[in-house]
Amino acid sequence: MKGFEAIAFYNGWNISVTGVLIVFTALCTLSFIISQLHKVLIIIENKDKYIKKAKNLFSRPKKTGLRHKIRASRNFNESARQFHLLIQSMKDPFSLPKLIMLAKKVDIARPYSTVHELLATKLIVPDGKGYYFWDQDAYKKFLVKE
Amino acid sequence: MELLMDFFSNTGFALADYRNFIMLAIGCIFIYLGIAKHYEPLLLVPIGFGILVGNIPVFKGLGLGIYEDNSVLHYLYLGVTQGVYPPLIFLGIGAMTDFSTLLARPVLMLLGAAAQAGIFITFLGALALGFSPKEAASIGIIGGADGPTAIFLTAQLAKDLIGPIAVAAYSYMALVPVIQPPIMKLLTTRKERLIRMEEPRTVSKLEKMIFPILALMLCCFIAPAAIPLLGMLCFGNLLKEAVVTERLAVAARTAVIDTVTILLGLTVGASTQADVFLTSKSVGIFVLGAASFCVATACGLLFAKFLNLFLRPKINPLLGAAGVSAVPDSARVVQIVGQQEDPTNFLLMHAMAPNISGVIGSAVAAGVLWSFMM
Repeated sequence: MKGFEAIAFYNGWNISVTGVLIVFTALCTLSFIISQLHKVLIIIENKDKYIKKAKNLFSRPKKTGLRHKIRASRNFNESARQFHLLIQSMKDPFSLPKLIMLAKKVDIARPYSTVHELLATKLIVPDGKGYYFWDQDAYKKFLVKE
Repeated sequence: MELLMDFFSNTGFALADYRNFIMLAIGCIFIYLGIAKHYEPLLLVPIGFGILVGNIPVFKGLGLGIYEDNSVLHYLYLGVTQGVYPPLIFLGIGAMTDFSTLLARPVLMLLGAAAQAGIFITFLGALALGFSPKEAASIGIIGGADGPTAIFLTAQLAKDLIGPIAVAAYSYMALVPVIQPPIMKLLTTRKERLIRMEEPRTVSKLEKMIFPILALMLCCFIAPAAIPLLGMLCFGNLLKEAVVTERLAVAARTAVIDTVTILLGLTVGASTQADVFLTSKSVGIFVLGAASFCVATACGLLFAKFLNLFLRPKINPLLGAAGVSAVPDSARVVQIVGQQEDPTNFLLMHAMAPNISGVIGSAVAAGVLWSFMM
């Protein structure tokens, strides 16, 4: 028996197609695994860092975190001092848009987020009528704590 | 005078026929190609000499021929027929091989897989020419361009064909620098041959140590019949990468592989006795073997071009030719052909990735074919 008849008789087409597929599957899978291997090894080598990251990701934020975080920020003291000087040049109570505009004028970095932090730490306090004033006592206490 | 005539009738001159002289000439050509042309000398010289040993006519029954049960050559040949030598050669290859480039660019592994398509296409061709399925599978594996794998599979499936298949496989492996370049130039444009490859990333020692374990487990779970070859290949590589087993690795890549290569080459050569070797089947095997090799090379090249449709940056499609597992000859050929277009383009290191992948791929293909034929 020869030719296509022999191939069909001995199931040649199926054997060839299945064989090629198996070899491809084996090498493709191996190729995929080794392409990811170095990434897995990096994670294993730095597992402490990744465990910490994962813990932070899934743990609830602490309620007192904001004040704590603000205190931990390196530039906050400096920003508070700059805003204090700026506010001294304004009349109490002052408007926040005007404060931010002045801050931008004198080129203070990140004026919006700093004002937000000052509000959160209650160094800038609302007067209930749409204006704000600087809490000098809180500022002194804040400086002492820091 | 009668004594002298008796003696003469026992000599090779009286016992020889023309086929012996053809085979002796082939043996001499092998030795010439190995020594003078440097075509795979470590294989062609032992095989060539083995052909000389096996084709000196001797009395049958004296226990001299390789096919006689009580001969020394027969015992040495058991390592071939029982499939002992090929896994030991794989042990040595594993202990020599650095998988860094493969680990750095795993996508190149697919080129090694593509080249194995040649095995299965040739399998179909052999069936169509009237070979039995087991013989066809043994002939197809020549396209893997891996002598030990071809011998191993043939020893399991078609012991009678070991001689012609081994000689065909090693001949074509030796002729890689002659067979592959025309196909490579035919299937690629100059622009493609000029493509430069990116520097591969640095691979950590731990990655190299994990790879043989991963490769063994994954490939052998998929094709368990590949265990004898892949198991030894991965074991040899682990010995090399583990550092603490350096002595064993050195033994595997020097003493073990050298001893086995001598025994394998000599006995395979000696198995090509004229009356067994010079048959119409052998001619068919040589024709199909050459076709298998060409198809495997073409499949690798074409698949590299196909990959380039999706890859950025593109890979040099010449690397596809290294997917046949003639290590490291086909990688060297890629380097030579690449440098003919651009002498400053170094492809050897990159070509080693599909080349090594081809070794793994052909071992898996052999395992698959063996399991289908069992």
